[in-house]
Amino acid sequence: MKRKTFLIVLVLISLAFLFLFPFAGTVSIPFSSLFEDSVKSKIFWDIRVPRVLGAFITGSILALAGMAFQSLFRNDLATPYTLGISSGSALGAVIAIKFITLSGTFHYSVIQVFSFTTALLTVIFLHLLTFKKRAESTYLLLLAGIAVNFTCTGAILFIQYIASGSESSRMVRWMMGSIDFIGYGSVFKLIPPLFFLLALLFYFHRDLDLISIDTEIAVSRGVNLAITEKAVFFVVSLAVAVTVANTGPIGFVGMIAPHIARKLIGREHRYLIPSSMMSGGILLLFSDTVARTIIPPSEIPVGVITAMSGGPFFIFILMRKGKNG
Amino acid sequence: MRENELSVCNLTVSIGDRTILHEISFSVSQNENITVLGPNGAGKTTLLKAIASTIGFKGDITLNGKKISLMSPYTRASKLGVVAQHPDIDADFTVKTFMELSRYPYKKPWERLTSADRSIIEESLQLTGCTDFMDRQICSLSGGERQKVFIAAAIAQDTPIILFDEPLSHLDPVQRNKMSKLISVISSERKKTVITVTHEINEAIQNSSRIIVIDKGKIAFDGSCGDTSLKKVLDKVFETEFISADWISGRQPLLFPGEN
Repeated sequence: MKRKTFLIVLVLISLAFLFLFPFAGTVSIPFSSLFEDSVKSKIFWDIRVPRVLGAFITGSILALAGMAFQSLFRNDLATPYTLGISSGSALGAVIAIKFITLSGTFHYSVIQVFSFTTALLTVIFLHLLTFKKRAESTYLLLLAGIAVNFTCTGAILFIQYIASGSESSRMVRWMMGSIDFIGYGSVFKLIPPLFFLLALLFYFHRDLDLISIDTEIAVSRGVNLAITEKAVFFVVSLAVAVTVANTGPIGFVGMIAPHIARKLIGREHRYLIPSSMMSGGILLLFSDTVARTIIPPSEIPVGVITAMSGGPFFIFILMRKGKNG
Repeated sequence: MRENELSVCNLTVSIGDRTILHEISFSVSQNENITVLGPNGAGKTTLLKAIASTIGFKGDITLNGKKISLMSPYTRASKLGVVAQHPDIDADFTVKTFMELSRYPYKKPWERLTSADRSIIEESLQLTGCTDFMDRQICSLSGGERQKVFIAAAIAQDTPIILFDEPLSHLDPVQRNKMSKLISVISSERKKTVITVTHEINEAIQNSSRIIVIDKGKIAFDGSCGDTSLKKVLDKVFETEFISADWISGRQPLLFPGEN
């Protein structure tokens, strides 16, 4: 009953944030002006609502991805960000910014395609490297992730070094991660990954329960380890690749949101999946709203907020965990 | 062919260049209670892993004539239950949730547990004496309590064959005796085939219907507990002279390792 109460509280907070946060911003928008044909109405429906929805969905996907990897590899540090998928994606974006000279929205799409492709290549590389050596794959995967992060960061720094000033600033801006969606195009792009991710994770929720306890126990209960691992790994990676291609790398949500959800609701995945999703959504939506309102009229990239608040918060959790044994 | 007959034929297991088991063959009938004994590194756990098909091997292991390694994971888990050695598991799941997961092979992802599932879980908890801590987290249990929960889960999985790898480790002498008798009851009253790997020679001799001794990857003995040649084989395999103590009338003598 306690867990169901927590889930209801999370649903209520999510709905409240989704309803109230479009009203937050430099321009004050009264409720009465929402259905008028006015600039304020356009700001509300075409800029703020898609952005609020985008932030919530992005946070949900990143949190679900982090939760899935943490359960699959039985390690709280295993997230798409720490495994190098986000930096692989960033490398693609940086290559596109430097070497593909196109203009306008088409160039933006090319950046997304490059970012998505390199994220996928990173996933395939990690898979080939680690899945054949299942026994030691968790440590190997984390170490491989660190190596991928270093390699991509090195390549990104090199490209930045040879890039022009404007290219370099665009690269930095992209890598900070932000949800500056205008209109519903990007929101619609993120709905299918969220849907597939949720469906897959609910389908495998008992497998994830058993795998997160012990792989040997999971196999003895009848879990098809090879299929579950591959399906979860690839669908999660695809969802992250699509998301990061749209928003840039946003760190820490995938690590912190599942951690909070586990503290509130435990490790049973039928409860952990919705609670991680909503925790991630709430966390990123709150961070994004702070990012766009804290120093009006300018905005801070949300990746800066999540990293600056997430890092200390994570250290606080770790210290508290150490204190409590 | 008798029902639930497990047959191991020319089983060879190698890890790297080292051969752990050499062409082992034996068969097991329904509700036999077999204990596999042998010194450390003899290949006992490897034998269980091969039967459970969690490691690669050469040879044939069949259940009712069907190769276990070719069964789907679901089918295999509905035929074979495994209690492996899990001293390090630190799962923050409640015992109740862990027990519910033992019904995995019989449920689709969207199916809920039926009253029949719940009653077999409850019965398994009662049988193993785990009911009192069913709402506690597994990570908060002592080693012995955890071991009992793992055994309860294997019973709740309700398979015709259960493999136990050192089920008596982490248990105090009284609990060890109780658990050893429980394993014997599972076999005789519930008509389950039980194969136990253990170092507890006396519990094995008192409660098993058949003993297999493995030494250096080969079967050194396969027979009943009362077989007079068993002690000689154990002396040779463990490289010591066991002292036999006939303390309890009507029971098999107890064996204690000698000085050398």
